[in-house]
Amino acid sequence: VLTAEDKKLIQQTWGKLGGAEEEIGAEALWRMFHSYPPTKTYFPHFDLSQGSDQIHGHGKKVVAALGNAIKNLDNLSQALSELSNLHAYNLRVDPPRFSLQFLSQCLQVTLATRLGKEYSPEVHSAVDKFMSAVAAVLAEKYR
Amino acid sequence: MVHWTAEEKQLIASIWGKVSVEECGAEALARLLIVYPWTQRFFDNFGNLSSPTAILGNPMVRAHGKKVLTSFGEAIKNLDNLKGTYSKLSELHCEKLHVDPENFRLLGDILVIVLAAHFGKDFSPACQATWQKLVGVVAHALAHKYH
Repeated sequence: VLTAEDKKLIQQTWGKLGGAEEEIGAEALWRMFHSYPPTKTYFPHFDLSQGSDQIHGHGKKVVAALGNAIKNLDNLSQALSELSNLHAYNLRVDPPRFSLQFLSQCLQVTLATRLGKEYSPEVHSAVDKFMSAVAAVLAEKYR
Repeated sequence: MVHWTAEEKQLIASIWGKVSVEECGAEALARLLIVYPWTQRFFDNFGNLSSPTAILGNPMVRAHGKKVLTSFGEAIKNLDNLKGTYSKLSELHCEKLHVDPENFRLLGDILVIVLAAHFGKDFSPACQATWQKLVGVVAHALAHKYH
């Protein structure tokens, strides 16, 4: 459960990204494809080479969705409702509790490389919990 | 047997060479106990684990973290025989410590994040991929003797 403190830390951390959100999204995806090759199977229609416009564009989308979720931490279910439908019925990505853990890990690594010591254990914990909560909402309608 | 390319071995060595086993080990174990509080179940006799500050300052946590990461260093010296290297430790974690192997995966991922925070941009995607592979095979080797 996201505590008030967790929510504050998440919003503060997101606030520190200073406009680099798109780059971060693209980097997180690139790291995910590199560390967890099976995740590429969902993007056969993409150019997955480094620096590809499609990876950049998709990273931007992902980060925008996360940013929206962060503005609506008190009602994640509603904020992510459309995406939940999309993932369950159209995309049918392997239930998020498996795949999203890879995106979560890579997003956290990306944040940690940029924030260094500021990616403290408390921030780490809050972000990890947030990504788990997002995964749970995205998985709600799978069956 | 796991195959390591020359590049992978180099990425492992170059990072490991700059790691303080004591600091990094303490940090990784503390984060495990903070981020995944249920893991505290294995450390009832460690004293005060009541808050992140308490955990980070706890001398038993620091000492044990150092022990764990020192063992990791042994794995790095024996990349071609991880199962052999970890055979006894695997039995120990199963028979005496009763640790669910899922926890090895959690600790491995945390170690990667600690390295990322420490090395910043130097912890490139290629570097991360190699280290994710390493923590994965270490976790696998530690789970190998479970029965």
